[in-house]
Formats: sequence, structure tokens, C-alpha cells
Amino acid sequence: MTDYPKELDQKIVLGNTNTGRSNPSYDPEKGRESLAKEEQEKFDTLTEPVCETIKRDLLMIWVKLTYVMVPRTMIKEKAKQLRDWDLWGPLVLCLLLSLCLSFSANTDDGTLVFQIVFIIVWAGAAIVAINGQLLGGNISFFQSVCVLGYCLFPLTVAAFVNMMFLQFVYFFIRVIVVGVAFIWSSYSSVGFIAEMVVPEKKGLAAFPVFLFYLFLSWFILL
Amino acid sequence: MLFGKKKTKKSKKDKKSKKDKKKKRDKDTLLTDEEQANPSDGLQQPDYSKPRPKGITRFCKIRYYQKFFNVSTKDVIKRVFLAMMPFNTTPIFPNNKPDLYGPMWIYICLSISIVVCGHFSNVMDFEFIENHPPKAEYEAEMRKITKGWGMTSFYFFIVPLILHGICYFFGSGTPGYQRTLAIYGYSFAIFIPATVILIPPMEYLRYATLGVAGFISLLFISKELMDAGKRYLAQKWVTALAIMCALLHIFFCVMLKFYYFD
Repeated sequence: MTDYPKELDQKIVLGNTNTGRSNPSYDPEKGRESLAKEEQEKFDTLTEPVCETIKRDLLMIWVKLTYVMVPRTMIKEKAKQLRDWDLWGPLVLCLLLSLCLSFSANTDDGTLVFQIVFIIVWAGAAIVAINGQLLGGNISFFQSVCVLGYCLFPLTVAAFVNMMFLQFVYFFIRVIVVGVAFIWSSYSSVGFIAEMVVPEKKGLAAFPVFLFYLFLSWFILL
Repeated sequence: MLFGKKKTKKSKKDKKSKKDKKKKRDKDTLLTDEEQANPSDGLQQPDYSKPRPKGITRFCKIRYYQKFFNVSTKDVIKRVFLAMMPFNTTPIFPNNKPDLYGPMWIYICLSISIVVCGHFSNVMDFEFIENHPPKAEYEAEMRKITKGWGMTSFYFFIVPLILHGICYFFGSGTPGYQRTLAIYGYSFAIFIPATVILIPPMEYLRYATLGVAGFISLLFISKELMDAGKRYLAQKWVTALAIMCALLHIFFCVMLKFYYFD
């Protein structure tokens, strides 16, 4: 592998820079821009074992998840993290949510539930992102989708808990669990979405986020 | 010859200046080079002084629709309340500039609330009237979701198109598709609290709520569109359209009652 000419190395690497692969001491907190330079210096990903690559991707998803979920006071730090959007986290969370809901569905139509939840998550995220853009926000479409996807994490946890432990418990307790998850999700994502528009339009940008998570919470309680 | 030469020079200059004005936007972050160099906290107003997109493809560009979303939260709340209580004469759109934020989210909110409140009312019917162990009817739910969406889409998009088309083809002018769309959108705002009130399984309350909601909605539409109708159409067309709108609203209320809140 090291016999390849240097230009070809760079082309192969820069062609797949979505997850920023480079040397094994990759620090996910540095971001994509500084990685481009490192990639030109060292080229190793074709020779490393697959589990290393997967571990690195999972670590990146985990780092973003902790940044988004744990309330931090430095909004600018968060915003910088999320400039490197990726759709792996949202996809994983969406699949988990759809699977939990389709397993816990009462009828034989688990596949229909799966389809509906999947479509609603992605179409809803797209609509909320487009709404942000139409209101004159300056976060890109995919960054909004990324934020909304990562903030699905509490609802996924609630759906999982619902499926495993709370099937035969009073409806009221399920409402409380899902309610807490809904408030946590909305609180995390509204912070990002609302800061990208002018202050007069914050309510306009935040309301669709509430609606999106409310619909998903209702679906979990169904 | 002289004028001809001047013309070509001017067009070349225009082309050059247009090329300079076209700033390249980074596809990832949708920021130009300047904006990336000076990242703001996100509180900038979009630049409405830039030239609007032209041509047939303008409907595909977000910049074309941004002019309809130039409202603040207070404006939208005020307009929604005006739509729900149309008993005064203030026009809903000052300066005649319709906004599409309200109608778009009222449409989505209404579809969601019809389905959600319909489900809750079925659950309550099971628990309080039939005394069976409650079971969620999933198949029925999914079909109802899609049908509810289809119904509200018809009322939000097709009916204003019909009104606009009739004014355009049989009248002397038209108030514009965007305006009729916006007004129809706001008129359905009253149905959102109405669906919430429809949850308890009391028949008289349901009929009364639907009647009042339909009446207020029609009152709002007539208040906003009657002037335009009288200005652009002959009297027989105005009465025909008024009857058609009333019948469509009655049909909407009937469908709500018997399909979702039985």
C-alpha cells in the first residue's frame, strides 16, 4: 500500500473525507478543517483494521452526542462542534427509534409503523430545516438536520424504556417518562435552532421543533 | 452606429458587474467567503435588497419564498388572533403583504391535531362508554393519518387555487393566489382549538363546537375576500362562490365529525 504515488494517496483520501480518517490518534474535537492538513501528511486508513475505523466513527458520534445532550453554558463551543455535521448519528438514532416502536406496536403492522416513523423523522427534520432557512437563518440545511437528529436521543431512550419495562404499567407513568424525554429533547435543540435567526423570529423558528418532537412523543405513547 | 456601440459597452459592463456580484457560497455551510471569515452569532437579517431570482426556475429557489416569511413572532400571533376573532374591521395583512409562515404551520398543526385528538377521542370513547379493555387501532390510525393529510391539503391548496382561477378566467383581475392561500390558511386556525374541545365524548358539545368554528372561519374568509370578489367579479359569480365556500366548509366539519370524532 505504501508503494502508491503520493498524489494518488491524496486523491483517494480527499475523496472520502466525510468522517475525516487519518492517523489513529485522530482527535474528533479538532474538526474537519485541521484534519485536511494531517491527511496530506500521513495516509494510513487502507491498512488499518476495520474495527479501528468503526471505533473511531462511533467515538465521533458519542462525542457529538455528549456535546449536544449535556447542558453546557458555552453555546459557541457547541456551535463550532456542530459545524462538522454528519448524518451517521441521526441515522442510527432514527433506526433505533423506529425499531423500538415497531417492536412495541400492538398489531401485526410493525412494518407500517417503522415506515411511518422513519419517514416522519426525516421529512420532519427537513421541513424544520427549510423553515429555518426561509426565516433567514444562517445555519445550513444539513446542520439543522444533524442537530434535530442528535436531539432524538432522549426520545429513543424513552421508547426503549417503554418497550422493555413499561408495557403493562399505568398509562400515567408512561406519559411522565415520555414527557420528560420530550422536554429534554426540545430544550437541547431549541437552543441551537433559535440562535440562528434574528431575535424577533426565535418563536417562529422554535415552534416547529416543539411540534416535531410532540408528534414523535405522541407516537411513542400510541 | 454610435448608439449601437454604446449599447454593447453597457451590456458588457452589466455582465461583468453581475459576475462580480455572484458570490460563491460554500455548499457545506451556505456561507460566502466573507461570512465564513467573519462568523456572526447568527443575528444578521437576510439581505432583501439583493435582486430577486427570476425566470421559470425561481419557484425552486428559497430566496423567492423568503419574502413571504418576513414576519416576527408578535406579528404572527396577532394575525392568528385576528383570524380567530374576525368581528372587527382591521385587515389582517397590513400593507397588503401576505405571509406564508402562518398558513404553512397552521396546515401542519391542523393535520397533526386532527389525528392526535381523533385518537384521544376514540380512546376516551372506549374507556368511558363501552367498558372494554382499551386497544389502540393501529391500522385505522395509519389510514386516518394519510386521509387527514389529504383532506387538509385539499382545503389549503386546491380551494384557493379554484378561487384564484375563477377570478383570473372569469373576472377582471385577481387578488392573487398567494393572498387567497394565506387567507384560507389563517381561516383554519380556529379549527385547532376546536379539535381539542372535540375530545370529550359529548355529542351536543361536538356539534356546537363544529358549528361555531365553521361559522367563524367563513366569516373571516368573507371579511377578507368579499371586497376583492365584488371588485373583480360579477354579482352572480360572487354569490356562487360564496355558496361553494360555505358548502365546502360544511363538508369539512361533517368529515371531521364522522370520520375522526365519531
